[in-house]
Amino acid sequence: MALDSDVCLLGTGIAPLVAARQFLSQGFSVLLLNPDFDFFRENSELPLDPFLDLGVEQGAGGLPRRMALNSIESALGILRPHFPGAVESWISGSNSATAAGGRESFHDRFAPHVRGRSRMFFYEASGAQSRGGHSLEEVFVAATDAGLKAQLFEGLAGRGRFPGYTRKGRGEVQPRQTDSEGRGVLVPRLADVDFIRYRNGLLEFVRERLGPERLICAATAVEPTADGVRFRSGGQARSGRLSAAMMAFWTPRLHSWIQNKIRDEDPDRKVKAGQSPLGVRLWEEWTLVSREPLDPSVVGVWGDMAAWADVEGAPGDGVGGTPLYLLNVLRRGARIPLDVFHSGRTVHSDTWASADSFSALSRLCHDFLNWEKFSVRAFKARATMEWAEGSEAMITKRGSQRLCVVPGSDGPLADVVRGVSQACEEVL
Amino acid sequence: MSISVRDGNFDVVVVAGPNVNVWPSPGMRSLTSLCAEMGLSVGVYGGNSLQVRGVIPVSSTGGVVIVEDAQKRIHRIHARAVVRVSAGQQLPDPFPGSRSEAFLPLATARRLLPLSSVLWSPATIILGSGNAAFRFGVQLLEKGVSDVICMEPLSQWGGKFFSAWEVERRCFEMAGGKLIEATPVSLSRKSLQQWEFRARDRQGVRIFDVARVVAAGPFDSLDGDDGIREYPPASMLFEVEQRGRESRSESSRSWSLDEERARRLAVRLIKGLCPDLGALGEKREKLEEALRRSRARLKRFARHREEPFIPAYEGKWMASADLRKLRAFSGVPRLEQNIRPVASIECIEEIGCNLCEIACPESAIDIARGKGRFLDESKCTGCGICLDACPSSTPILMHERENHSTSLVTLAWRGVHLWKAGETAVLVNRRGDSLGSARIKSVDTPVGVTGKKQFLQIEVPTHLIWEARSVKRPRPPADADEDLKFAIQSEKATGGARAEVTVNGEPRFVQNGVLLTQALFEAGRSRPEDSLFCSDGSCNLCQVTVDGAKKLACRTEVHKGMSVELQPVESARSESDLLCPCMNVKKADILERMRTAKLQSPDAVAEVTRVGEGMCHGQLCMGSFRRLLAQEGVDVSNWIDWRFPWSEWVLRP
Repeated sequence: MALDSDVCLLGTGIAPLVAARQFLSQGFSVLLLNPDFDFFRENSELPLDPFLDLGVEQGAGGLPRRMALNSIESALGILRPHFPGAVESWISGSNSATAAGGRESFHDRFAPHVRGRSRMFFYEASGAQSRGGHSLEEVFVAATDAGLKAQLFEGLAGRGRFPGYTRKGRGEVQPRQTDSEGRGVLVPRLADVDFIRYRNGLLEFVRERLGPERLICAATAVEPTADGVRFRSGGQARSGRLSAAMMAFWTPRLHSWIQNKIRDEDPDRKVKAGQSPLGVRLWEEWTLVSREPLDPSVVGVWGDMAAWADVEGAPGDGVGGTPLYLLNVLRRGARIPLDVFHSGRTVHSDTWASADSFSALSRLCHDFLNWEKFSVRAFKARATMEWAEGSEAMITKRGSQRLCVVPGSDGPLADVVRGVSQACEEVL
Repeated sequence: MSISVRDGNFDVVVVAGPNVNVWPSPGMRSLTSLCAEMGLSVGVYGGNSLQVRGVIPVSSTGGVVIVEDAQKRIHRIHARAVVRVSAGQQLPDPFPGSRSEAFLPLATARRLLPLSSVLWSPATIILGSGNAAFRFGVQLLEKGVSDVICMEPLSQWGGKFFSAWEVERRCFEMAGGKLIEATPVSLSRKSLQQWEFRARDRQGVRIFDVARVVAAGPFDSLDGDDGIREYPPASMLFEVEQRGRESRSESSRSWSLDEERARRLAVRLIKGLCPDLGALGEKREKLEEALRRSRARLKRFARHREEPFIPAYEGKWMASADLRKLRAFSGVPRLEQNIRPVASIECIEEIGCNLCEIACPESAIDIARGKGRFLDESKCTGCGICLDACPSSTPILMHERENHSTSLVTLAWRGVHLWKAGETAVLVNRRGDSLGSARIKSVDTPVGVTGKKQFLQIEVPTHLIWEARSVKRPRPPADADEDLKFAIQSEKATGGARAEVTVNGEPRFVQNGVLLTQALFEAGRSRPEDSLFCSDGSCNLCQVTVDGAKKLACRTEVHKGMSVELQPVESARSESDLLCPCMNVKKADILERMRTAKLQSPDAVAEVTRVGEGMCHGQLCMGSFRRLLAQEGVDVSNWIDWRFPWSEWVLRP
């Protein structure tokens, strides 16, 4: 049959695209199914790891490992082999736009960028910031363990490095007493990624290789069978045989489908504690308008928020090197049980843009950054699955057919790519 | 410092999108009352005191609506279903000069029209040929502007050449307006108040000297659907485009359409949200009846496009076949006009307007379902109330005196130049062509009518009584300064209080007490950013510095001694190919991204190209963006852009 393949991939975001590219590069034939209209609707990847404590039990090496994985070198090492084209890099403090050469060398203006920026973790002496962050000492030790040269800053010296901080906000008055309080630790060369461009570049490649017959969006009623897969597309029932496996990438949108499949395959099976999702973590990405030009070289972390100058590509690529005025604020929201999230019975004070969100934004802008007022330009609501530490891909069998369910298919992009790559290796 | 946030819950929330200036509209009143009658809780948010900031869709159905009240408190309303009412897009695809100060959307032009000092002569071109475009054209002509042209982009419509009702087009042409089919090429400054507008028609490029170009949205189409979008599918997140932009008497068709759509949507909401429809009992029958009626009416609204009446002419005379069709029409008298003056309602197309029926005190006019207008001439007393009620001046009173050389026609006249009894007028046919001279026998000013309106009884040669439908002056004012003279007269009439203000350090005299945006147009210092001139400050583009503080020009009144600093316009914004000027995104960039990646959904294209993420939040570009997507084969018929917030949102503690 036309749809007979080695592997069938089912997913909604970057994860199935990464897997498709990996299988294609190894000579496997791939059938890619997406229940959404396109690969942009769920949008559950994050451009960076905010290093916020997610309440997950982590071993002693958890934070240093995450730091090491998110260094610019490590992130490039993960992302470049899986991208079918140039992944450019921009490192604060250097004038180079690629790892190989300066600005005069060739640049693909649509290529994704991995930016190496310093990360300023700031802690107020009063402890007024939101709950849940790692302590300053933990971050400092973790950065040192990861081989990154962290620096400590006191009071204004640290606060002044935070993107968007101004002392002019309140009529040129002297800094407040609290402005000179607090301490920060600056960790250099941590990565953040243009994940939209990364996803689009992968999609271009995979779509070209698979063609419309094998990359199918808006696929419904997807059913693994004993020897393949059955689904509906464009109002027609279709099926294909699989010789290797079917992989499903567990994101909030596919949660119900995956739960049902696990139950169908083995009704008595209890998902192991280490493999069960803990819930759905809500994320809010606010874009605020700053009155002062923003320094693109630092990403600030304060309480349960990370803030950075919004930029596409390398800073300075805009019209005439336009200064940056948009401040992106990524805020960690509540964790909601999965069944509640999908049932619509969510207590709405816990969902996006809640009183807590506005209170946190107000504290950040008015109390910390010294802004008199702030304008919201944009807001993006995201939801990611939250997993216990060490969650692994689950493989179930029906006849000769294997179904591999991959957790960790959302969240920081580098983690997603690394996790998917490992899962593909397991399947192979 | 804290921001106050309150939570609330409703089954259905109806919200006003940016630039919706009639709120709540008649349609939304129908929707809310029908839903409430069926036991659903309904919230309505919009207007100046409750500004809706946007909707955040949730994972199940419905969404969270964020509203800011006058005290700057935030309300988070959780709704099982959300209906957004959005203003129609009026801007065409960008062309060189389409971001210049001479180029105005219709809503802005309407707000500037009463301002005496904004010049519209020597000519004004209106892009579009919908009812709204013709109605505005007639207003300009009534105001004394000598040359008004409605331009329909080439090949815009498939079946019918022009999208408006025949009566609106007739009214426009009789008032002296011209209709052409062409595509805009460029708009460039010629002198301080004159612009050169180039347009391509079938013969080549034509050049017009104009004062303004008004974009009236040549997209007023039913598009074969009921105008209700739901996106994502089955999400209970709806959008309805508000067609009416003015009072009901000015735009009866739009409001009728709005009401029918709203009823239809209300039925969908009730069926989706009420768990047990059977328990509604008798109410359910009422619901089904409402659905049936709205379906039938919506079908009727589209019928003028399917079965248009476009009379052919042989020279100045209507082709005999069309004249026979007209005389056989049920709204036209058969015999009584030979005995006494009776009304003739020459409105052949089935259109969604029933103002004459409502106004008639004798119930002589009946709009039977699916059968057009019907005039019971025996009941008609010739009172002329229908002449006053019709915004298109379609009804006339006719008295055909067969044994006399002249007969009598009474028609409604609106305009700045009023008539006197005994004056000689030039008769014009339904297309605006001169037919010969006639005498104004008498002039009446209808009781209770505001503005400049007269009923003219005209002696018409009897053989012309079925052709002559309006009059014009024998020597139309050809003076180029006519508009200026009128401006001065109006200014005298209105008192013309002036105030001296400083604009970028230069002194300027402008009208006192008007909005600063109006004053900037008056002083010839308007910027492209001012052109949207929204009614609610939602686009946030017209920011100026007034006496050292940043303010919105559309929300700030002029006062004496005011100092205004205008922000410089970025040079990149003047580029012609820019589709999204805020984000500097060109049409070519979008096409390249779409074609290379074969993007299939509007969400994907918007995300990849970042169109509409700029300061205006898509108010300048989303119409063009949608059309571009449709041209490329992407299905946008049901797509709703739910990006939050809808406009720049300033938060203060």
